[in-house]
Amino acid sequence: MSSAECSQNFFLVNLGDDCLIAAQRLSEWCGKAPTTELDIALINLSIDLFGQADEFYSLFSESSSQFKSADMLAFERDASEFTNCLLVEQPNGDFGRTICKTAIFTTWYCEVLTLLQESRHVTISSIATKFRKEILYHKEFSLHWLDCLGNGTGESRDRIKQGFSWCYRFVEELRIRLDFSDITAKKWTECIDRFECELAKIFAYADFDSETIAQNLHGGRDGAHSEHLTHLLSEMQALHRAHPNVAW
Amino acid sequence: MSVDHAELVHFEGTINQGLSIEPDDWMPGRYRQSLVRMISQHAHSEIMGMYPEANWISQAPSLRRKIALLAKIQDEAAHGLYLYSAAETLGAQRSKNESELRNGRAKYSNLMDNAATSWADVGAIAWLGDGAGIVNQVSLQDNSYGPYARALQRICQEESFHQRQGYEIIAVLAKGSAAQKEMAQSAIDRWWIPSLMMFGPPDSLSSHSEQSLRWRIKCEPNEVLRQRFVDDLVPQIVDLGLNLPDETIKWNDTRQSYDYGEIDWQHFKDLVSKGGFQRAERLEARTNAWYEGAWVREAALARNNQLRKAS
Repeated sequence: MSSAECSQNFFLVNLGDDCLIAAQRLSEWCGKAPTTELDIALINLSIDLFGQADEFYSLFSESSSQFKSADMLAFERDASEFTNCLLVEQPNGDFGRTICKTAIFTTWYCEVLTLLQESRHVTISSIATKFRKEILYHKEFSLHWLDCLGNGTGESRDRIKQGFSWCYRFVEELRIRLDFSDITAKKWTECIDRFECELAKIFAYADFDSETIAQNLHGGRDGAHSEHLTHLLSEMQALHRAHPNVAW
Repeated sequence: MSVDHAELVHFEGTINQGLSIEPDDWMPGRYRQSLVRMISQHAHSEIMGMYPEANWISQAPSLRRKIALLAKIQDEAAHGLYLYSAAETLGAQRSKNESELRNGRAKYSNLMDNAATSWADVGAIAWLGDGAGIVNQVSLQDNSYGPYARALQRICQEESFHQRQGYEIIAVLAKGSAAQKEMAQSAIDRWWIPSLMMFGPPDSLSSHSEQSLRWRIKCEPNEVLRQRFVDDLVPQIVDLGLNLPDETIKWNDTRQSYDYGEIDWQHFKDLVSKGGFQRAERLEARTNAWYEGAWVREAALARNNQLRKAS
């Protein structure tokens, strides 16, 4: 990948990686959700995110000399080449943790898409508009479940607090600015301010106090991941890599 | 003429005219019972059908295949829900149906108990398994019970998409590398007989068939449906350059159909009574999902009650 490509378009890979890994995690729920209706809903979120990853990657691959297709980006890179945020690669845990993770990620992602809607690049602004509609539903879904679980029973409230405790360690990383010329420092700061404002409302569902969490972990955007990503990728890529250069 | 006899004459008259029986209509106990058994088994099969395929979501070899597979499994879950609803119109509660599935008392298609050990199995399940399902369900769209017949119309449309998706997976593999072609052949060999078994034993061996046909609970004999499936599939398998999974398959000029080998119905009976290769894993997955999700369902109910009281 040339340095020019990196500086101009690499945020597409950042967002593609976020969507791909979040989708892969959500798809792990298939057949395991608390009700069949939730199986269907979680599959829906997963399909949307795989589709968005495909579009981000496809757009990047149009100008890449190394990665000629979305599938090459998804299936032919090692963990250290992935630049997703650490939050999305975290194991699902129980349904509560998955809801916490989805609520935090979609709240952040929604604000990023709002920002990208203003891009001077027509393709970027139009896909951001399309994706934002889907992600607004993801956010609504996760907030509905935060309300149910945060206010439901003592056990559900405790589980949501534990879910937030697990996930909060990765929130700091979401403040790192995406490298795209249309995203000025000022606009990014405003975007993150809006995200933090929304985040406070999300935590209020279970009276979660983020100050109790001392750790701030990051490195995902630079390819420094947790052990979880290696396991996820080895399963996801095994078949594709075992049969190089064939059609599926 | 007794009241019950008059009701029966009216009921059979409605069926003979090709009209539907609706939930509030009078119906014989055996009709209700047979339909509950059939619709519930169909619902359970859709739900359990999620598992062999879900096994491959994480490993699907391209983004397009991942999305298509997820969409297919999502359809199956939704079919399960329509069918549980159709069974509820006959008084069969979904909660009871689901609990019977978890505790192993309910029957579902044996096909779902087979191990899906390669990517080509995902194609074979959809092409052969869903293909057999479609032949059966297209015929059942004319069944006499309105809610089931209507649910089947939508299900058949979606199943056709599943079958095409399965065919496409196998077709790409059959035209691919030697290893891919071998993968496709192995899947066809392993899923052929389980797919033929999906139609059930010959009607001469079934205790329910005659009355089921008279009351249009089913519309055509098992052997007729199975033959239709064989006749559809054999030329397609040959066309892909794959070997037929049964050496005895050959065209019969007199019958204008393909002859095919005997099916081991004793083995089928054993599968029905004892379960197939992955039965324990399938039931464990369903049971774990239920118990591990109990706290979520309790919380949703508690929140719903709070909101209802507040309004």
